[in-house]
Amino acid sequence: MLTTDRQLRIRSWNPWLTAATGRQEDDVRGRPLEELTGGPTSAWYHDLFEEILNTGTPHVLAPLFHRFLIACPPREPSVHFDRMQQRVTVAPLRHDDEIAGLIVTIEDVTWRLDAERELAAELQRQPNTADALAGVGAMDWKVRRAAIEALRRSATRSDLEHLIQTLQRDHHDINVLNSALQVLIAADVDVAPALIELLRDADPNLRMHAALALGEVGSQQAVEALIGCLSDPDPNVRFHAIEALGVLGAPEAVEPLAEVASSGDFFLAFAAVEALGRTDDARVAPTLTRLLGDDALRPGIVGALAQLGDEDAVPPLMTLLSDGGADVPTIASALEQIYLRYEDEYQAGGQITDAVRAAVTPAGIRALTAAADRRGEALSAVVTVLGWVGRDALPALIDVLDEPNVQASVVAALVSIGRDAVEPLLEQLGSGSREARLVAASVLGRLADKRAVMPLAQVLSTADAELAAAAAGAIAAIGDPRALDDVLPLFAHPRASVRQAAISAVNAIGSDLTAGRVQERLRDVDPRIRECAVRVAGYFGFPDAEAAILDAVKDEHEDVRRAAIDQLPLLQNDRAVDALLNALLHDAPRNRAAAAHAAGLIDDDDSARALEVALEDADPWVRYFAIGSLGRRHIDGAAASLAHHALHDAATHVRIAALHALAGVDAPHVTGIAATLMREADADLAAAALSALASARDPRVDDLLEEAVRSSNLLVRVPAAQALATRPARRSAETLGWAALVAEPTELRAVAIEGLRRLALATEPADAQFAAVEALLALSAERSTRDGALGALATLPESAVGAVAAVLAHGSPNLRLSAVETLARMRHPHASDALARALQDQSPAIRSAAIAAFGRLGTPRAARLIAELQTDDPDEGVRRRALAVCERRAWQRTTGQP
Amino acid sequence: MAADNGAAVTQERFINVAPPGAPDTQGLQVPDRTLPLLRDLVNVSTGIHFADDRLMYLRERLGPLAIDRGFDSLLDYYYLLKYDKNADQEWARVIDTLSVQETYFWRESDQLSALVEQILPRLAKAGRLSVCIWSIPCASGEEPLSLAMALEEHGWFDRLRIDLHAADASEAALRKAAAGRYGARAFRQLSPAMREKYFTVESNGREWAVNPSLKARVASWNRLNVVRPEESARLCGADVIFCRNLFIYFTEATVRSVVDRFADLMRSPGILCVGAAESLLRLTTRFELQDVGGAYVYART
Repeated sequence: MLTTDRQLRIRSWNPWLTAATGRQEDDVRGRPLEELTGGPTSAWYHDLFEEILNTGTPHVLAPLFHRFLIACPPREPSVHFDRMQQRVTVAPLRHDDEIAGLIVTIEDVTWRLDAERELAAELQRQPNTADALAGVGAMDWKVRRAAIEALRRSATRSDLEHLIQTLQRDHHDINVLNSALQVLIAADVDVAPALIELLRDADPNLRMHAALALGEVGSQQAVEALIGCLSDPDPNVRFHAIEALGVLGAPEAVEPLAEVASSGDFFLAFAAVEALGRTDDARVAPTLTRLLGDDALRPGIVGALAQLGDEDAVPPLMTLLSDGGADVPTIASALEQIYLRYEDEYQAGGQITDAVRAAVTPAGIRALTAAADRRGEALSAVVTVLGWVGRDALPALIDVLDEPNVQASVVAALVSIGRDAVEPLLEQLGSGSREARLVAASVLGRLADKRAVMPLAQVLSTADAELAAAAAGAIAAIGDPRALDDVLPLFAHPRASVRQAAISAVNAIGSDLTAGRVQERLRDVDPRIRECAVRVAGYFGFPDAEAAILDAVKDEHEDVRRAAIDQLPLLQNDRAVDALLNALLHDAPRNRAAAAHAAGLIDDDDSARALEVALEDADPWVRYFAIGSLGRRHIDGAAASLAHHALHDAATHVRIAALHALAGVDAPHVTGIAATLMREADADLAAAALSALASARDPRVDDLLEEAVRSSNLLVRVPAAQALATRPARRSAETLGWAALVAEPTELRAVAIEGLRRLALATEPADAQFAAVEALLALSAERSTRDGALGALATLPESAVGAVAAVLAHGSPNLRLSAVETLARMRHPHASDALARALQDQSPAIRSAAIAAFGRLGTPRAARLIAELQTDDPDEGVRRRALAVCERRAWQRTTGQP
Repeated sequence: MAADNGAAVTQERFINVAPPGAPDTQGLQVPDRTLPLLRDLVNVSTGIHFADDRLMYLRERLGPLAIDRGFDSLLDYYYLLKYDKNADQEWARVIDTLSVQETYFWRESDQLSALVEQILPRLAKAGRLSVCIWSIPCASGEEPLSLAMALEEHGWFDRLRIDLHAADASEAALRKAAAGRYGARAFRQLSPAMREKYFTVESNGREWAVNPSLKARVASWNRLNVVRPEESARLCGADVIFCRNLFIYFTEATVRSVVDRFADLMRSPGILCVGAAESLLRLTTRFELQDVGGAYVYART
């Protein structure tokens, strides 16, 4: 311990410090403390000490960050540290009412950090829960982390109960609290009842953390108790209960949370708005929209509306945009998110863009333009909304043409504006930055306006290869013959991709002059020009092209010969076949490969035999394309050779090609070969084997594929699921349903859902279709798979309506809700008939969802029913929703007609 | 040259192939799953990661390379990169085309200051006579030259033996560095006085060339893919590594692997400087975050 005066000169220095540092009190008394703390951080300490002197607030310096205040060796030998690690407390030294200096206490914690590091190392080597429990409250964050990881992996139920007791006892220790909560949240054991019990503890701190943990654990059991916590006397408890309810997304919490949102208590109202934003309930949006008038809550409400707003949210959002009531990029983001949701889920994004156009004002356009100008946050969303606005937004969109992060949005916006964008784009093409010119060329091509042809032609001679290719691509899209003579010089370009773009452009232009121009170039001295000319000649099949192509097969330049080889199948005569076979057997490796590929397009016995010879070529790419051609031509006689290459070829990609070709020739032994190779370590080879299995008629295949989907080898699960999707059977649907929930690897979920969708679309056998629909409906009731499953269900044909409508009578509200969503998205008259039944469902959430669905569909037959609900429904949220839809659709109670 | 061997059972879906009778425009086929396969292969081989919403960028960048090689299917190009014995040359082109090269002089200068004002004095005080510093990725040279300028301004080349090395996976970037010419945007953070001191304006008035004396301060320029153990072994003995704005393109697993290797190779006490937007706190315990003169650096534990 030491003390200082106000000038930070040492006044006292105790024997402990003398023993630790070797400095006597007489030597240090009167000297500045800074001399002893020293080093590069002394200025920082000086500032800290001054702050303590001025404010009187003590500070603790944690050793993990500060290590030590006064450098000296550890008092005991240390494995990990060559300096004493010190926990330092600096407090004001008071004399009467004044601060006379500082009192500094230094604790040697070297031994403890040594022990914790040893514990951390031991936990990493051999995790055990006993040590881990001890490590939960360690000072060293690395130890706490190792302890948490060990407990996450292997904590038993009794360990967790012990942890909860520790939590109750030591929760004031922030380390214990955080660590214990992390473990509880990650535990597979159901700790919800214990945590719910903690909600009744006398200590509000513990109640607060229990609420937090219940949200993270995600237990629906806790909803009722958490709703009860909304009237807890402690505001922090209420706050965390609100957050937890938001995470749980429970529909029964909607009204209580809406009450909190309207309460006027900003701290809690804001949290309630965020929580509502995460609740998938159609009653929430109108509730939130009414609260947009609250300045403090507005940003949160806009964010929540982005998650669950519908077209009714667009007019108030556009009003905010015009009035400057909220941040423009935030509003644009919200509008974009609503649009994307409508487009993805209902293919009705147009409803949102129409609503935006109907509501936009000149002030709103100015606000969006200014936001685009600033190139700040959410620029992409601002650009997207500007694109919906149309022509008036052109100057703003042109201004951001060179902004790389929003290129896709700008292009989409300009294309949607159409011909009005051409002139400004031509200006940019001529004099804009490089990035702007590239984008301008691309958009002009997509707009296909002939005004752009000659300006694009002028760009073709640029030294910038990417720009030249973009201009050529645009000319190809426009297809105007005036550009022909400007494109042709690109045949000599050193970059193959530019020459390819030029070839495409010439092919697209199709001018009367093309034949003559190309003929001139077939014998050009430049091999690149000859090569391009050959390709164009083959594409068009000019009258004199055959002789020129056959000559080109003997050209001195390899690339020219290859171009000619690619055209040979188009000639369709014996001379071409002979030339092809000659190239296949005798030309350079890349040309032999080209010939092998081209032979796949010829139906000729000699070429089939030559392809089999090519299977023994030394070059793997020749074998690869030869195999591909044999498979494409379904040459059964090659099955034995293909099997040999699938099992034994030295090049893996050749083996892959052989597997696919085997499937194509329906070889009898493909099942055995594929079953062997599906266990290969190379994921692509295994995937090819599974793909080959899919088309085999062997009854063992279903077992093999199911085994692969459930395999511990995650790499084969996805290709196996894809293969299973092509085999309509009830068991395929069941396996895919399982795979969608397991979702390991993560992409398996989407693949499995897509597979179920394909099975549901298959007409035979009927039980497979039914099983797939059932599986999708079940998945639609699970939070993790809901969106994907609903999207798949929405694509089903009318024949599936009955199966879906039957679920409206199911006991589970979640399933009934899914059925409502699905029927709404199916957009069939019979689906709407079934949906009308949901307007009388016992659950207000479902009635509200059905109203919202009809609001989107605009189905008049439901108008009267919904008009009645705006006054007769017992639930206020439902009445509000019905009112909003009726106002938007102008549906009236008496006639039910607009 | 399309192969029938898509990696998936689903029908090959050809992007940008015109319907029959219509003119062919781009002509490159992209069977289902090709882009995710390419994405994963690029990640394993280079560390660069492309999120799902950037797969089309991958197609735009690699498509021309596939066409240059004479393929008409991107899947065939994937097989070339993965299985061909001579794929290294093609990978060099892939890295060139995917690397983001935009950088500038005196970027995140707090770490440059920390190096010359805190770290090197510490090492010198500890008796060190030579210090090895690496800049990786060096892109077109802005960072190692910035380091050279900082070291020069503080006279460190006269006080210690400084071995300053630069490395990048992209040959195109190294060619630009070798040319040593920079446009105005590269100097947006560097004072005019420093630019005048270390660069000479070219006759076109739009570029500046680095002075040979400064360029000579960088002892070597290396092509090095930090994800490959056999290549990163050259970092052995480094005291300071500047590895900034690279990890933002990597997955966490790749970052951990690279950082672990740095820890294995560096001398003690080693200092690792990463970009301001990058944090290693959750990923490793082999480096500790330290505040050195107001700059955050990672010290080898």
